Amino acid sequence: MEKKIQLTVVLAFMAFTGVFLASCYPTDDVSYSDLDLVGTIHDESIDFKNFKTYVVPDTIVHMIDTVDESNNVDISRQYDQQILNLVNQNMVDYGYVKEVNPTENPPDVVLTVSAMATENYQVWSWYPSYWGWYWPYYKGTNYWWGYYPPYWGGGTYVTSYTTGTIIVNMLDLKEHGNIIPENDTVNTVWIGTVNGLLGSSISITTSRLNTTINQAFEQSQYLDIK
Amino acid sequence: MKKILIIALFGLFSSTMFAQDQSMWSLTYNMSFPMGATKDYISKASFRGIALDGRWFVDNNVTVGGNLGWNVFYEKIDKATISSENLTLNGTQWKYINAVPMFFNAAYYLNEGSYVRPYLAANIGTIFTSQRTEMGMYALQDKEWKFAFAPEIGVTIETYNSINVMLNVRYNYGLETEYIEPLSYIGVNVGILWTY
Repeated sequence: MEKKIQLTVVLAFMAFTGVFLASCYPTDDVSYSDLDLVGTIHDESIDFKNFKTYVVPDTIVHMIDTVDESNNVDISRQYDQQILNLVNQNMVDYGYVKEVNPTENPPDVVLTVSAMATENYQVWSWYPSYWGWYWPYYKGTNYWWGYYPPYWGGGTYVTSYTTGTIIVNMLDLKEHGNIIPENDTVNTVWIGTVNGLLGSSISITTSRLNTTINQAFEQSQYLDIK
Repeated sequence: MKKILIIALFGLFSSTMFAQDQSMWSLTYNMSFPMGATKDYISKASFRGIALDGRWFVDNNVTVGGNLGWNVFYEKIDKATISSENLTLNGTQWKYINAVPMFFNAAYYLNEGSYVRPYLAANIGTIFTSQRTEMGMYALQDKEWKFAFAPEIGVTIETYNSINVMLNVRYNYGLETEYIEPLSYIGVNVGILWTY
């Protein structure tokens, strides 16, 4: 009798803890902006105060896979002007002057903006089991309590998501008068990258671009020449 | 690990073989409070933990045994900025530590014959530590076995119908390994205890 009560208590406690642990495995709802990542890197030997004038070419270059074209994802040009405006505005805020006639007067730095996108696939599956109802199956970082009687068989489904990256590349033209592409090596002195998930609504994408591109400059205070 | 399992199974099936209490088992819910380098990494306390512990009496006041636990630490940091040399990254971080302590232990109990027995224990073994940092859509994960020890004070309380309570506080310390800094946290553990 005593042993029986003990066992019942033990089992009840185990069930409680099991449910507790499985249902509370730590996760939060994730928004698009949560997954945005801003990375910057610079040449530490460069004193940016030596620079004054800049230009930003008016086209965003799309980087594509030329070996296997099926990997390519069409990138919208809907946000191009916003991205270019943000880069220009941040440069002006840091004290640079836009060179209005770059063919006559080569600027000190050129900022090229490019973009790329990649589609990623993930396969999820669960397996037949005889443990009955409410068996947790693994989905991403969440445990879900399956309502399936799992012994009906396992299953598989596929999801995909598209990631995009914007790369702003600052090139040092100060040493060069007119560049001869075949002969000259032009050094990159700063790179700002913004990486995130594509597919959010227009208003959210617009706001994410504002935040992330400004952040790239914000975390690169050495660019400030004022 | 295998040894512990064999001992554990023996313990379970041997219950009818002994007339008197030979072993003591506990299942505890664990709350963990990070310390030191662990606190620098995740400052939030963990309320996700469980441990199973088995002890054999070698005399009326001394047990030897072992335990297996699982503690999950987690913290989300919004838009953190980290730098390494000339590289700077900004993004939301999700940090996880999954710690699985596996210890052999020895304990000494006071108040022989009493319903309430305070004790002092020493644990030695390993903590399997998995540390994961997610940032943006990327993740960095390290998994290591840390040599570990854990001093412990506690009390066993016998109540109605042999449904007993285990209460203890344990300082867990796993030594620094190649990729993960020393792991240290104070565990406050409460659960049920039964004897065979």
